[in-house]
Amino acid sequence: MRCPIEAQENAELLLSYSARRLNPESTAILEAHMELCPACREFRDGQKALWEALDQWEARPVSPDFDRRLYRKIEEQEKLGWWSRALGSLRPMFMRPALPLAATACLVLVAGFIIDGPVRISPGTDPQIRGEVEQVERTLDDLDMLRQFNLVAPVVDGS
Amino acid sequence: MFRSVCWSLILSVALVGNLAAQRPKGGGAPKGGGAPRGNRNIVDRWNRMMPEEREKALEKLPPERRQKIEQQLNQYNNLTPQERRQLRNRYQMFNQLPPERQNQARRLFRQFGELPPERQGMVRQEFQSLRAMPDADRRARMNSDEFRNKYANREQKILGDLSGLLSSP
Repeated sequence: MRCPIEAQENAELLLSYSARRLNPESTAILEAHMELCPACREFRDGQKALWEALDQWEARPVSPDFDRRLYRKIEEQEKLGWWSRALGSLRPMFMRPALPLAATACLVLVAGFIIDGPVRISPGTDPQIRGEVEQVERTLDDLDMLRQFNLVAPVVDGS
Repeated sequence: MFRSVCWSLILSVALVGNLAAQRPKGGGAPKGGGAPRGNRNIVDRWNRMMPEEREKALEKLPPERRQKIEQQLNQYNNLTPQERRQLRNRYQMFNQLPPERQNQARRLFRQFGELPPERQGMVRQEFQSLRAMPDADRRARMNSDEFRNKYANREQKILGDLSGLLSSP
C-alpha cells in the first residue's frame, strides 16, 4: 500500500484507525505497513497517547441545581421585553468591534495628549523653580524687545 | 475578533503616526531658551504648562514682578500665529549674536524704556525706518539736521547704538 502520510488521499485511513473505526481488512493492511514505516508508527503512537488521555478524562459532575438555575435564567430572559431580547442578541455583534475601536480611540487620545497636551513640569526644588522663572523673565524681556525693535539686519542692497 | 483587533492596530499606528508627523520638525534649539522643539522657546513651554504649576512657580514672586510676567505672557499669547512664528525666529537669531552684543541690546532697550511714552513711539518708528536703509543712507540720515533737531541727544545716542547693532560685527 502507499504510505498514508505521503499520499494525502489515504490520510483519513490513519485517523480512522486511531479512532478504531477502520474495518478489520484495512486494519490488517495498515498494521503491516506500519511495521515498515516509522512515520506512520510515530503518528499511530501519538494518536494512541491522545486517545488514552481522552479515555482517562472524566467530565466534572453537573451540580445538582444546574437544571433549576438554567430554567430560572430562561424564565428571566422570557420576562424581559422584546426590545431587550432583541438588543441582547445584537449586543455581542456591537460589542466585538466596539471594544477594540474604543481602545483605539483611547490610545489615540492619550497619544495626542502626550504629544501636544499641557506639560506637567516636575515640581523641582525652590532654586530650580527660581532659575526657571528668571529664565522665563529674561526670555520675555528679550521677546518684548525684539517685538518692538527688529534687531535682525535686513538684506539691503549696498549695506 | 482577530480581524477587528488587527484593524484597530493598523488604525492606531496610522493615527499616532499622523499625530507625530504633525509635530513641528527640524531646527536646532535656541541657545539660551531651553527650547523643547523646533524654534520654540521656554515661554512656549510655559504656555503648555498646567495652570496650577505655573501658578505655583509664580506665587512666591513679588506682585509687581509677577504682574509684569503675566502681562508679557499675555502680550505674547495675543500675537497672531504668524507674528509669533516671526518673533520666535527673531529670538533664535538674536540668541546667535555674541553675548556682549545681546547685552548691549538689552541695555539700550532699558534706556529706551526710560524715555517718556510719547517719545518711545517716535524713536521706535525712526529705528524701523533706519533699519530699512543701507548703511550709507542711515549714516546720512543720522547726521542730518532734521534728525538732530527732532531727537534729543539721549534719543540720538539710543538710535545710533541700536543701528550699530545692525551692522556686521
